[in-house]
Amino acid sequence: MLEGLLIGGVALIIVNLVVRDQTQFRISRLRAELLGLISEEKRLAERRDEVELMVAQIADALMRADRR
Amino acid sequence: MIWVFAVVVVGLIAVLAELLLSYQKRASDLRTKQDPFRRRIRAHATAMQDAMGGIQGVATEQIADFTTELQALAKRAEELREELLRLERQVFGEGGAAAAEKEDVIEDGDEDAGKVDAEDTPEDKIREAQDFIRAEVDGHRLSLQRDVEVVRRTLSLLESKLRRAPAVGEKKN
Repeated sequence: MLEGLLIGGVALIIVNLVVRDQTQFRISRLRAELLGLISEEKRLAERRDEVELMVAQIADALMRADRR
Repeated sequence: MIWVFAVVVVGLIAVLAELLLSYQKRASDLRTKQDPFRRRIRAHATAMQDAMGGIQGVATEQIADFTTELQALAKRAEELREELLRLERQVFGEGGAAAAEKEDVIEDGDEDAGKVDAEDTPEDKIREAQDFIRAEVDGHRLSLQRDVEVVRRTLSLLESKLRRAPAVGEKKN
């Protein structure tokens, strides 16, 4: 009985360590993904502003040409 | 002794459960935080595609019209230039036939631009006709050409920008 508990205890310590490592790895991957999404969102927002500016420039040039 | 080990084993099971629960909660928090960013990324991509689609249709249609107009203007400028050249030859070469061509100089242009005083010499009239061609025909044509070029260049820039944008957006979605 004592031996069984001893072996079980050691096995549980090993399982705990493995679970902790694996989950920490998953969490760090999720965090990196979140950071990547944040920076991509910022980049796309800037690009969207540029695109909207360009669209306005095109519309302006078309209107100018149309008025001539 | 057995009791001590039994308590340790139960404690370890409790630690394992606690670890799993806390990590699940953190992972769920992180996933929840990602959602708004994914939504915003999709919204940016859609807005860019919509803006591009709208302006591309209008621009393509109008550029075709402007190109036709530019060709007509170029043809007209060429005709006017030839006519002017003929007049110049008559005025400076034959001299006397200049008065007969007066109507042609005024005919193709704007009324005010083509008007000349009664005392103007044929050379003055030729100069006015040259100014008219330069200001009214060539100027208009060049401005139109510049606008069409601006539209074309900006459109191609836009296309290249958008070709890169969805590729980045799709990678992580």
